[in-house]
Amino acid sequence: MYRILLCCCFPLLLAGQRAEVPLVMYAVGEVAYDSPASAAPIPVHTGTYLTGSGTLSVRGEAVVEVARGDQFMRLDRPGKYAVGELFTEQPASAGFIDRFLNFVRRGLEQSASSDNLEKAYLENQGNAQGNIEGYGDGGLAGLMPFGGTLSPELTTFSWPADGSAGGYRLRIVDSLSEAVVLSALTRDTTLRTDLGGLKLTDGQAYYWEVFPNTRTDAGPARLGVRPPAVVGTRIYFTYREQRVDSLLQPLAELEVYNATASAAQRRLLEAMTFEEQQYLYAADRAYRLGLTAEPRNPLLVRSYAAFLSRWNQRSQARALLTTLER
Amino acid sequence: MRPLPSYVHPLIITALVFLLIGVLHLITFNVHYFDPFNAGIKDYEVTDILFSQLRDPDRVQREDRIVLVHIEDPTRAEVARLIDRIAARSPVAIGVDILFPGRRDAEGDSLLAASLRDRPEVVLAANLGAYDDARRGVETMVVSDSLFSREVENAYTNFLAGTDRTVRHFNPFITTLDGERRQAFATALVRRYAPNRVGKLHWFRGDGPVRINYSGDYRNFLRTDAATVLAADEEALSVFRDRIVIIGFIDSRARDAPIEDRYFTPLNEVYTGRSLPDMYGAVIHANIVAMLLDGRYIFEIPGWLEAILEVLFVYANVWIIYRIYHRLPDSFHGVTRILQLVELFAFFFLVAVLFYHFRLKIDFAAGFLGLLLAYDIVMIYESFIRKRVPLLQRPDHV
Repeated sequence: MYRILLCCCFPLLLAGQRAEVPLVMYAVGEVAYDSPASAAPIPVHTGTYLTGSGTLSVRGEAVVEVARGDQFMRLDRPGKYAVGELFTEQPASAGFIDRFLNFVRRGLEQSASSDNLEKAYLENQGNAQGNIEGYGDGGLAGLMPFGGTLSPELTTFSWPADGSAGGYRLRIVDSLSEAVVLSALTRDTTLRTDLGGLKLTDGQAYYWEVFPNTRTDAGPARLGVRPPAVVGTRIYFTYREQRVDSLLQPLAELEVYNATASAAQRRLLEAMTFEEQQYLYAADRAYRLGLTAEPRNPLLVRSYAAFLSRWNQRSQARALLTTLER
Repeated sequence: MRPLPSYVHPLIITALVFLLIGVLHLITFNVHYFDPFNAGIKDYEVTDILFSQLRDPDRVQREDRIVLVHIEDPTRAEVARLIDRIAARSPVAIGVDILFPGRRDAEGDSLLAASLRDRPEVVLAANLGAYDDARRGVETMVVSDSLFSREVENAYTNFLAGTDRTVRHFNPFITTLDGERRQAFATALVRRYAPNRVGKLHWFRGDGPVRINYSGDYRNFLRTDAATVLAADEEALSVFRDRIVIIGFIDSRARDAPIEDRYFTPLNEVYTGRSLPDMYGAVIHANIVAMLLDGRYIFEIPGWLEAILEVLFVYANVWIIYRIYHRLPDSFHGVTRILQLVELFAFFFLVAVLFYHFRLKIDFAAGFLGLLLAYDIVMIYESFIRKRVPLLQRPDHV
């Protein structure tokens, strides 16, 4: 008899799925859960089960991590999050076969890249500059600054438009600790900010990235996963306290620099100096200033195009060279 | 002249392949020029790829029977208060992954000693002493000061690897040279929660090392901070009820996170060469506890069976390659290389599937190496050895 009962109850056992109820794995700070089942929001602690389809409120510096089944979510920004939507937005996990094939593909690509000079160059350049995606132009076109070293000065971040109606959210993030240093909303495809005011650490690596601001709560950050980005790329850079002007002091002592009357020639020398020191944003600006003074200077145009090409901005370099041909 | 049986040449070639593997092994592992290479190879297993690359790092295996309590540079008085608060909520076991050597301040020491008194659920961390080469064993176990250790159970937190090697195994039990039978930190915790699990472990596996089946990093476990626990209200402390609590350094995202008690595990994204240790000891203990509670062990086929399978595998391949050499001399090179690639891919996939879905670990490294060497050894045998040995020049069935 008990076997019959057990057989009848078996489907119920399968339907239990306790692991499907979101469980708070870690909570610190002021976190509350507003559930339809309770009259008032209940405080959330480690071990709290989030039953029902309520709203999670994260205030101030609070952090909460929630797991449902094998999905994991970390919320470390203030806001209200509908628990029902938290996990549905996550991409489906790749199956074992997909991960196996990806692993083999990566291995084959690495082997092939050692034979393909151009590909190896691009990948190494990516590593050297911090643009680790290795996509070359594909991942970096239209993005500025595109890596290297940045200094405490007014810096204009720019990216290609993607028609996002809600504007864009730009983030500057500490690459080691993943701490968000700057998170800013803008309707334009540029944002000008003084890096000197962001309390960045000298010599530390950071990255910047930009997202379409399609949701008002900006969506939760998911640990270890790159959120959908306009350009799908994180641009890594190193921050140095040293100001770019100081890099030009040795140049100012050179006769060739002082003797030339051409502003374009001076900017070219400055750009080369900046690039040598990995200050790519400053180098780019010097080239642009030079071209403002002498737009058709072939030496400057070719040098600038070569610079852009070296730093994975090939489309821009190609467009620049075509101006010479016209 | 009677022809040689068809299996003779492949058999000799197979023997030569394994002879060469043995010679290579002797040379590389005993010549100090190869030391850096060896260090990497010795600390590498194919299954590391499966743990680090074929697992989805964004997914977790939620474990809600264990709570990790993160604590940094605590005073003894703080630890005492922490234990008091946690113990008041009736956890099944409290593992304190901190060693308390000697006595420091009288107040803190007395508070901690009072807190540990009559607390059978508490397990204190201890360290196994140095290995005595002459007597072939561990001398004794170093425990916290007697003021603390005499009241509670002490269990060793050592793993079967130094801080420079990947932690893959742990010893659930060890009998030290002083005749005492010691148990590992995780074993002691599980004994309090599910004693039958420890009994089964001992029954099936004896005192030998057990391979750790990692379920994931700290995100898999319920966790909280010591500061939160000390300031929390009663409701927040209910998470400890009927659970196993491990107090120790759990995780830090700070750049200057301490390297002490931090180990390499197979989950490390960089599975060969240089990288940073990826997991703190307390989280490894939590992984072991989860594995023991579920009885989710990694199965390994015996070494002798592995050896037989490898010999059969290499022999079969040599037999095929030998035949291709004689019957398709024009396309021998291409066909053999394709065969090797396809087989390597297929077998690696098989090893991965067996490990991933059935937790069955097969170390087929010698077989793979034999497959790679078979091509060259067949050529060397035919062009060099066979021509010089009259007995082998007799016609065969090829």
